[in-house]
Amino acid sequence: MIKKCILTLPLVFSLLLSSAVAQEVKIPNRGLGFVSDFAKLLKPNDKLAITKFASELEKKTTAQLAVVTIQSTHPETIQGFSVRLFDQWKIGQKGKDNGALILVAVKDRKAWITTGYGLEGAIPDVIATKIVQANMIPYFKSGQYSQGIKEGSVAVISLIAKEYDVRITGQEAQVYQTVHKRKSPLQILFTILMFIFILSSRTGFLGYFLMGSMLGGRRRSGYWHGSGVGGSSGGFSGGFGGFGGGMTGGGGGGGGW
Amino acid sequence: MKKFWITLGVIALVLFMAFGWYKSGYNQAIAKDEEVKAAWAQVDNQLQRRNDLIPNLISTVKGFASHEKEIFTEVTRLRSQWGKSASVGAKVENANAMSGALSRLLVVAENYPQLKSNQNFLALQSQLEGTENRIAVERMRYNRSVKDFNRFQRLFFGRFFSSQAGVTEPAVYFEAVESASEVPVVKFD
Repeated sequence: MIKKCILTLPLVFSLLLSSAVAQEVKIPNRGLGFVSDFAKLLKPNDKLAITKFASELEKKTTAQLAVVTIQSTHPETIQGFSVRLFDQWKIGQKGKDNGALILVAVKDRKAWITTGYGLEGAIPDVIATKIVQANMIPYFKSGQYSQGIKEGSVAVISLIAKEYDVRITGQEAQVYQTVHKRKSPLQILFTILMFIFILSSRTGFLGYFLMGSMLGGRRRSGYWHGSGVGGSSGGFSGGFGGFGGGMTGGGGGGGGW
Repeated sequence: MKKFWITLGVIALVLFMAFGWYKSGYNQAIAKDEEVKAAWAQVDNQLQRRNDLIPNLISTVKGFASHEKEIFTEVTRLRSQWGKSASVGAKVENANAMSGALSRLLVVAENYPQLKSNQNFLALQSQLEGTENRIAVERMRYNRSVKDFNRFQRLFFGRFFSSQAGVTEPAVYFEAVESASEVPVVKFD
């Protein structure tokens, strides 16, 4: 017994030490999927769309995109934190290093795209910077985080798809298509509600509320099966099987707003 | 007679185990040494990439600030010195000096509004920033492998094994000077 205690002592000490030294933001051991919305910036439908795109991209190219939102990377720079997170999760496939990470630190008002070694050609630093500047930040400035993150993700995914010479057809269109084929009154109702949602999301809060209740309704009626919405922890996983062991050399770019 | 065979068997077993122990120690030393070398190759790559940007950078800055000769000569001198430095230690020293010189060059550039808005200069500056980011990452990985190797070398038998593997010196850390991390502050907001 005593021996055991003595044996564990160094461990306890080292744990104490490391927690005292490491002031950096802790990184969760693994992502929640392609999209890890720790800062809760994403609307459910945007998150679903990004996940759809990302999982289709992985299926067709093996390249992996991780979208992560957090509050702050302080005291690290967003670039340093991105590399650390990339290293820990190992986004992309081993050997191919075809991973990309979009990180938004909302309290720092900074966004950064990090590319794996294998995607530095598909997404040069200049382009990564441009995507953040032109596709994301304009939305962020007006508080439309969800839209900005979606636009950025789409831009990154389409660049990777171009590199691999494949087409990502995914889109929300496909998500709804599975619903379309069923031709039930519920589907029509859904479409109408969707319209209301889209219209009202420009003006205010109503759409968001509606969306929430719709998701609940669908789940109960089992209407969404086939595409795999489920689970209380955050829904559609897009067949996420974990990241594959990719590495980054610190390439990428970003900016603040 | 039976005793003889048992003794022989024990001796053979001990020899076999000793061989296994030696082999694994030796291989470990080789593997760790190679890891350090591979990590350094990556650092070297990125430093080379930074040096490749310099002629362009200088000629761009010269176009707007031709009389800042001192800094140009220093950067050019360091760049040509880079080619001559063979050892890791010399290259680390050179790279740190270069980081300092480049940050001074960028500070100088701050004084020339026309230069700061020059497209060519902006592009070079952002490329430089990307390279610095990559250097930082590879430097971190290199230092990690150095730490691993040096720790091994200081173990009870580590020194023996690494000298068997032909490495007697500890690997050299790439300590960044403070200014190195400040070099390429490119603000976009």
